Amino acid sequence: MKKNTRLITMLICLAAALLLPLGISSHYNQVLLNQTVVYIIVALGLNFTMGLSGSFDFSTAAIFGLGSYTTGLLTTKLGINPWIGVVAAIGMGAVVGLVLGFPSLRLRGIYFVLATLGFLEIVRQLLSNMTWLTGGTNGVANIPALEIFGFSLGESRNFYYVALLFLVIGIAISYRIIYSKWGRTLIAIKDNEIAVDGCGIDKASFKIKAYIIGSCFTAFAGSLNAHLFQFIHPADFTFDFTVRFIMMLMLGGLGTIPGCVIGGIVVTILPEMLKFLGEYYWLAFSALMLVMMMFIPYGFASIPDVIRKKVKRAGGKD
Amino acid sequence: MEDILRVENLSKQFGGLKAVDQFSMNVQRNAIHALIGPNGAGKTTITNLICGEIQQDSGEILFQGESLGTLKVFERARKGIGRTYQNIRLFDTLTVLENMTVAAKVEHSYGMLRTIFSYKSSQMEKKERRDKAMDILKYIGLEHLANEHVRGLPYGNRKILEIGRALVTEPSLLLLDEPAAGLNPSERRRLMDIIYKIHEDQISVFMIEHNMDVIMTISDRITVLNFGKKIAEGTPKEIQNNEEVITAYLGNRFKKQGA
Repeated sequence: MKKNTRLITMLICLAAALLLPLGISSHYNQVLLNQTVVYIIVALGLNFTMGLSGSFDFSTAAIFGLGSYTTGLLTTKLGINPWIGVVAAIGMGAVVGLVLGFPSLRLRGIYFVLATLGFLEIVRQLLSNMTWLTGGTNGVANIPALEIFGFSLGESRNFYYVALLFLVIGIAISYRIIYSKWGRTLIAIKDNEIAVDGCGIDKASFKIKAYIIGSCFTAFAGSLNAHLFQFIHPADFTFDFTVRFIMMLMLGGLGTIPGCVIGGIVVTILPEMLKFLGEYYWLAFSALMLVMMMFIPYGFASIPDVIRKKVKRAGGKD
Repeated sequence: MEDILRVENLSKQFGGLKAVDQFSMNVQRNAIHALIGPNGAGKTTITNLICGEIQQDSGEILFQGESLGTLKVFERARKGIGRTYQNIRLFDTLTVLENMTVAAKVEHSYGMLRTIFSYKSSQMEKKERRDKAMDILKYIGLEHLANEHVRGLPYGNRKILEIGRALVTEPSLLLLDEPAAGLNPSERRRLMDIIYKIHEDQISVFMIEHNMDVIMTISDRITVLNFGKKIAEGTPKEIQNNEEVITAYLGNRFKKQGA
């Protein structure tokens, strides 16, 4: 029964997502929608490290940026097919995940967090200063749009549907991982690292693999982003950008897939809806975030559970 | 009888404190061996040294004839040393069953890519883990709580579940750090039954405990520790009549009982 409810909810959400662009007429809103889908993929990636095993990870913007630049440079400088650029970006994500995660995730404590924080700054500096390769602060322009069977995806509705397909695949992969030994063990690591050791589990190997797959998601989304806007700039990939994804997870609900989706939608679209406030829109958004964190500390995804418990308690009294 | 665990001249110093001082002990295979002593005698330190949570300054630990050297905690656990903790360490946000499946030792354990791309393999592994976990839950009498969240479990059941989680890793030596602490008499009875059952299933048990009723009833052998040093070793009867142990730890009640 519970499984059926979940399936029906997912199908309704999918149908809504498919119909949504039909109600959108402005180009701006369509691009915003495309961006939302891309950001949700990043949230799913971050969810493997931060959501499940609970370690803070600040490298998201750097890996997203590296994914963007990988495909951006390959396609503009070498004229390679954009889809190959996207695959190369995924490879880049895996390599970065391994190189950064392997040494730092074997240590207990805060070293991984510090490593990701340092990496974020290093990548930003390199992207802005290696002018011969990255174009420095001019960014990379004229990145070709993705094409599928001769249809250009550009910034349009076509891009949305293809990105949505990738998102569905990303969600399917996430479900597989979260509801297997991988996800359960990562949650166990968050609950009690010492006991995980005592059970004969090599926790470092779990954390490293989770970080690698998360980085692949993030770099992949970064490459989609590069082809969506056809222009990338080092100033896009800063600490603020990382925090945006951490916010998505906290607000949506750590470790849950609906949490990633809801958090991704709210954090991407809500600031735009507040733009009528003029220059105060970001202040208003931050204040709203604060209030939401106070009243629903476990995120939007926990609301049904909270309601269920309240109903149960009320029922018990009667 | 053959020894499953040999501890030879083990020493560990924390700053100026000699927590464990030239300590030697043999745990026989299939025995229930207890380690007792006053608070601060170094009992938990010895357990942590055996498990590899901390490294000794000198001395050696041999498990099934093999030196444990500098093996990490999880490597020692894989070799067959299971343990519970003085302050219960469960996975609180998981269910009872999930606590067990995470720890379960299974034949088919697949990598991340195979888990993602092969539905059949991932289902097979899931089923194997679940079956094994359910078997142990039945063994310790908690199968009716399988889908409960651990957070809401009463204290006694949490302690028992921790033993179950250690069992599902298929240990040949089980270290129990104060299993009876905080249990009421009926729970203690249940605990002793389970320890007996484990003992009958050829798993060696090494436990730290303060409850003398439990110790004297079920142990085959007792080692007494004071200020990091071994002061006595023997059967429960021998220990109860040992003058030094009585002065250091037991008090006179047990002497009267023994006489």
